Amino acid sequence: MDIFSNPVLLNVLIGVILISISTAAVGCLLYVQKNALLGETLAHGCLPGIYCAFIFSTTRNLFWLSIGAAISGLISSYLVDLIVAKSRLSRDGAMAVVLSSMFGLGVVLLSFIQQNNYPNQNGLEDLFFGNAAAMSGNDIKIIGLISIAIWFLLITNYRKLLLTLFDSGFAKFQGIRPKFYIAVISTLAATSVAIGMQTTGAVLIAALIITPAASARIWCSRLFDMILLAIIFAIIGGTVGTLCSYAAPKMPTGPWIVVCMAVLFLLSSLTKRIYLYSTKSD
Amino acid sequence: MTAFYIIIVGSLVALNGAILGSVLLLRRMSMICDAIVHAILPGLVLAYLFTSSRGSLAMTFGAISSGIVAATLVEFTQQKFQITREAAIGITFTTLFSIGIILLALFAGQVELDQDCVLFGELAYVPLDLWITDEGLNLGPHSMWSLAFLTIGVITYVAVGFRPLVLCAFDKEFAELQGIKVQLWHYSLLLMLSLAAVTSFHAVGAIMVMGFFILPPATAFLFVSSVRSLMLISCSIGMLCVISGYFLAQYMNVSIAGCIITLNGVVFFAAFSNRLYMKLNPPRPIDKTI
Repeated sequence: MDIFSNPVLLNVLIGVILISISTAAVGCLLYVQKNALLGETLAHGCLPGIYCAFIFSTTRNLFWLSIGAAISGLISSYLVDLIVAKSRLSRDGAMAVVLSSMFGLGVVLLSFIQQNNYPNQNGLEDLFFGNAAAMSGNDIKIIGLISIAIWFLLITNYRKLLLTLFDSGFAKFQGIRPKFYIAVISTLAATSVAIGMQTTGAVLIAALIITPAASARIWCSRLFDMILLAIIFAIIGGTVGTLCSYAAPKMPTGPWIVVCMAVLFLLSSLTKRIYLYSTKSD
Repeated sequence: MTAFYIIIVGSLVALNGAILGSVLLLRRMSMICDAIVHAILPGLVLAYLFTSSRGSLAMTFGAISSGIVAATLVEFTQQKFQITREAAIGITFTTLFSIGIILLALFAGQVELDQDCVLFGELAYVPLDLWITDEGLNLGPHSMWSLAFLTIGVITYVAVGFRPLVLCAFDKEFAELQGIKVQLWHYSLLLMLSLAAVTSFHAVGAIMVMGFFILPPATAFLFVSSVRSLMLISCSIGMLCVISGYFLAQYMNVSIAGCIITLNGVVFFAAFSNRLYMKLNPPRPIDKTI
């Protein structure tokens, strides 16, 4: 199979790689924060925003949908933090509450859109499972621009984020406001989930955030190395998954990417165990 | 009659959800619940492929086994690969769910399971699936009966296991010292959870079920101080939301299950803001000196 002769496949591949690089990097931050499941909450939390953006803009332009998604993702992550801070609910209870009510709202909005015969609504259901094949050249440009913004924020604030994540007391002492940088992490996560919705779908984007980070964490003890390794895992998983889904007709792309990344995680952890075992016996 | 059937089925789902959900919330297993409702998909598809029938027994068995497999995998991944619990949950359920979707796509011609049906379900179709005996007696929808049996099972389970379940939730070491088999109760709870999820998913969809499990207990949890009142209040919140959600959905002409869950969410956030307001402006203590 020749990848480069097929422009659709090439488009999809570039899009998938761009998305998985950003989600992998953000996933490392969330993993270190012990907050990896926030990705799942954000993925469901983005749905109402996307449908609202569709209702107001009546186009399926990825840019507007992503902005809607990012805003409602941010609202959900803020709500989780608020509930944890101000009530007796534990963090996972709060996440489950926000996740399920946002999902319910999303389903109501979707059925509202379907009842009212909005123009060009085809493909909105794709958001649940993702439809990478529908990615156009224009979408790739938008995804690229937003990923550049994510990377800019991440690189310029890297040291402050690092301090906030590992020692928020010391960070405060250094004149860094930990609350602000926690909000920056949530913003990064919400934005990268928002652009990834189209590829893997709401249900599986959590895997793009968690799996590369977890596979990388097995090997690394520095955040910087972890992010680099996670990106490598994400690129391999994304590429192999996309090619797998194109080998057979009518295969969904998102699930294949997720399965490939899980296989990588399994390989990575098995290798680590063998490595540990062989060094111990010496 | 349609409204009656839908409300009865919805209330039964809410009743199961509230009772089991209270236990899950106390044990901080809410996200495990999320993982299991996703992870039953491959079990359902495989059961369908092997038996090629939508007979509820095979489906139930498939769902229960993949629910248990998911929970075991979470424990296994967390312990053997030394990653955080959240990551173990996230990796396990996304992988199982993807395998389910891939199987659905591979055998699309042979499996009559619809992705949308699995995810969203549709309460409006419940009255179409009536159980009519050979004599022509109308016994109501199929799912009403299976849910009724499930409710009896769930209530019996929680009534029998009330003390061990609650003790394990609050103090695992103490429960072990008292001779309670903590692992046994943990896995039996997961089994009941998968059973409830698979019985309800035809009516409300796999992911929607989670709202029924999580939201009413979470709302009640803001107010109560005993486990019994937690269960009772969450049952009543759940059922009230089903009834009002149904009529709201009819009025606005949108998805019924979605409307019920949204209403549950609104109730939670209303209760939460009330608590927040009370915390910021505590009521003036009554002066008893007069």
